[in-house]
Amino acid sequence: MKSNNIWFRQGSAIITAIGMGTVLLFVIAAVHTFTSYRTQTTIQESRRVKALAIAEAGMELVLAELTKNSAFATHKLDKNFTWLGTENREQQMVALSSHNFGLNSATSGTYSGRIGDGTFKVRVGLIPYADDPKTTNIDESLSYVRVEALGKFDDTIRRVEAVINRRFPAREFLMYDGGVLSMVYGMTGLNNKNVFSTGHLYGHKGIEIGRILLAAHSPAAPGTTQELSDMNAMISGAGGIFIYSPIQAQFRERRGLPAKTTIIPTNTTFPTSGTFTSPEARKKGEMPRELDGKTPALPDELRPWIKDSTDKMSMPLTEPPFGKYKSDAKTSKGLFFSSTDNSVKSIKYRMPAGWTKDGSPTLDAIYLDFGSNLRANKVALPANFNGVIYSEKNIVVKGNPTQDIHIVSEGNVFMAGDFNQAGDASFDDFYGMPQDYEASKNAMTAIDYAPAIKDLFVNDAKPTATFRHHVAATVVAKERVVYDYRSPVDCFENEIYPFMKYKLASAMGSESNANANCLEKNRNGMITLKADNAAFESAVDQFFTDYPIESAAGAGTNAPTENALKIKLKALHTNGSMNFDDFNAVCKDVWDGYTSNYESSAGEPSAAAKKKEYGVYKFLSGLREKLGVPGNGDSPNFNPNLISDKPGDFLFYPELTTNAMFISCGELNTVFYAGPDVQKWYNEIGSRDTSVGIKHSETIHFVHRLFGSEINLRTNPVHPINTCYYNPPTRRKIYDSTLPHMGLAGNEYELASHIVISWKDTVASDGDYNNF
Amino acid sequence: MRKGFTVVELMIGMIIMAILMTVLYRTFTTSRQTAAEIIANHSINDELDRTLLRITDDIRESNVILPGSPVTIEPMEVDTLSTNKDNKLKFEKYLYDYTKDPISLAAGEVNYTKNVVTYYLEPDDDQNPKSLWTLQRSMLPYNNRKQPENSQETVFTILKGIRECIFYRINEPHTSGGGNVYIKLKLTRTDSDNEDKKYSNEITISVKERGANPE
Repeated sequence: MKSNNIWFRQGSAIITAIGMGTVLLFVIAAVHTFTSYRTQTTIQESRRVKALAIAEAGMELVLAELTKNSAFATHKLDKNFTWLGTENREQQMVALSSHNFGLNSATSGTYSGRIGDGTFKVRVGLIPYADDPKTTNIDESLSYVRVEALGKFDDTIRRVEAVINRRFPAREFLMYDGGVLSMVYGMTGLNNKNVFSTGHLYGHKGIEIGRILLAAHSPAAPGTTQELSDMNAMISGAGGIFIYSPIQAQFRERRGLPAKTTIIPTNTTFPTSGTFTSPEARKKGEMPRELDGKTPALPDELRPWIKDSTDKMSMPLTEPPFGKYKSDAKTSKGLFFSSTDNSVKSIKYRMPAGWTKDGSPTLDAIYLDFGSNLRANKVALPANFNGVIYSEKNIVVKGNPTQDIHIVSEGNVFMAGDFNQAGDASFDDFYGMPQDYEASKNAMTAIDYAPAIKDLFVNDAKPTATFRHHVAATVVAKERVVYDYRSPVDCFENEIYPFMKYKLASAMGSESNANANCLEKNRNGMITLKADNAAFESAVDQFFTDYPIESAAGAGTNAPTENALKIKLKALHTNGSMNFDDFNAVCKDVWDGYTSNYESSAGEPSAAAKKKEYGVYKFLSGLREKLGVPGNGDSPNFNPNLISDKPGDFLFYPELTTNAMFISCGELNTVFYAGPDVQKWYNEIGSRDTSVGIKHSETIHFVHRLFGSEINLRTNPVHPINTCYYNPPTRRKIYDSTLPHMGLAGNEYELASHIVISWKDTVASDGDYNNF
Repeated sequence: MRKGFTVVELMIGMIIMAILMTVLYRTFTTSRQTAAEIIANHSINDELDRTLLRITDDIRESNVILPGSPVTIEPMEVDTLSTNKDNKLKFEKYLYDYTKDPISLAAGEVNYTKNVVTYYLEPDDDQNPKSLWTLQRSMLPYNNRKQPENSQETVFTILKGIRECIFYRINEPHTSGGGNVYIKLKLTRTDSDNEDKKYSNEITISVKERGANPE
């Protein structure tokens, strides 16, 4: 039977299907129209974000390469930012297949790789730019890098272009601290000034500066203050600048900025009853909660020179490349000392109680004496020396290296004497360039080297230099760089030796003759000896009565004894007179008597040297007396500001001079109260009591001159030191303006940080990517 | 056999039809309203996205966000902030010229210029505390002597009809630049067919600063 039901009616299925299909199409079209815009937009946005993230990742990888090797570049670049020829390069980042991250290996040209489902290509090159002569601490020709990164995800490509300001903090900053840079040095009750000159100052988590006001947070007489001279800028990358007392400051002229002499006003009152997370944390330099993380207001007119975290000049650093240092030192061109080294260089270095991790009275160390005008070099460098000395032990250093050098220790480096300040035969620096202050100046009022000496240092960086008074030296310690003031024969050799000469010539002849002829080489004078032999011999005896040597028990077998020296000197009388060079040679022998009998073991004064009557100490006080210090040169209340040194008299104020880039990694882990507190124990060992040597100097009786840069990264945990064995010296921390130029070319070990100074992300085409 | 329908059947049929039509109508109008809401929300989202993307890109290209603009606050203070004329986002963009040798620069000249960009809000009605706000962007160029070129300052409108817009930074110790910039943006739009009906959405984003100022 034929049904009327539509479902069974013949010929209607097609019509029904078409009708339903049409309706369905309308529905689909409507839904599609409604959703496609959003869907496509969302998909595109998602791809855009992914492509941008991949491009940024490529850029970050190149920045990581630059951090590991600041000379990294893929291409040359012209001033208009056109990529030119490729550069040879060595990439150090490695692929991580487990994280779906791949790097295409190449030895030159574009840097490329894969992250997840996307790929990237990056180019990096040095922007050709001239060095600005107005900035002494930055070489602009090496400072700007352009990076262009393309990221591709599916068919979406994004381009990121950035200009990176490359910084070499160890070469640019006078002082750098990975934590809070504390510039509150000194003692209470004193009027001396510590002076910090030139370069930048950087404290990643803040800078504190001020006069010593407190002793263990109890009110005390105000003490040593700090002064900034010829400075470039103070920068805190991620913290505030805390000024506890008015600071005299002088900033140099820079591009777009005039010179400025000012007094930086106090902006912080340190809370004497501040809140700390724990007494132990407070002891390790923690800022009180009332100050931590704060950025105290600074005068607007000083903002160009004083920059806190709001200026975004953040320059965090990673540790130096210890692995590369080690492998390079192990080659035939380097010098390597293992932890089991038992060569003649290995010593047991005497340490004060409480200083070593295991309580031992000594530390295993390598002893590196590079010699001086008065001492032979005791470090034999290999042929074609690559400049790296690496020790798994601690290192003790003094003397003047003759080549650019990196001295690297997995432990501490002890700076135990004048370092890297050689003198040549010219009279100005005959004694190894001790400080000869300008007319009307003295050790307390003179800030920097005398101009003539500064010129000598500047000349060292010139290719035409025939004699280098200092080399490009980098001292790196995985733990601490320690300034060791214990031995006056090492710390003040340059100053005591000419005084000893002067006193010996006075004894053997006359003071007027000594004054005229024995000190200055170019006068070419003759030292006239006493005519009467008995008087002469008596004078020689009296000299050693005044300045005894007292042969030390345990001193080297070759150490000249006092008697041997007397015999040697008395035999000179037949000459009647001596010329400068002959007399100087004899004086070196005599000085050798004082120095070689000073220690019974490394860092340990001999029994004789533990007595105040030992000749070296008497020379020291005699020298100070000659320079105007009353009370046999030993008065703690002496105000050296009252005297003026005589330029060219070749009598010098005692100074320990250490010239280098000093880089330490140890965290601040010693008694170090934040604020204007005297309880700040820096990494120093000096003449505090007889357990580390006799007290030989008051704070204002000697100067520590650090010439170069002092970089404390604070990246490596170190054992705590809860004891202090030094009298703080008067400090002169002077930036070495040859650092941006000397020893940087081809240097693979530089600490570099990178700051983005321009950034743009844009769309790019498939063609752009393929042709990149 | 009787042909046709009874009145009762017709009424039942009409009632069923009426119920069906009502259901259908309600379904239709509900769907229409939902679609309208979705479209309205998409529109708001688009405006939010576009505006925030613009500001984000602007910030990422900047060198330094000026202290105090926006204000830095503690996390618990966020709820106390309100939209006002003083709440600004102000930053600087530097444009370097590496073709000039520094030696060739005259005294006082530098090798860069800069633009100071400011985002700020203006109420549509000063007298009405519930007024909507307009987001403006001004740009003041500085020459290579660090002098402002006031005559070249430009201002244009980024977005109108803003219910709430707040710029702020969270106090994060030991963070360079004072940490990220946060932007809270709330838009409210009125239904074109029903003024009592409002659609609103708000987004709070944070932007990491890049760059640094010249030194």
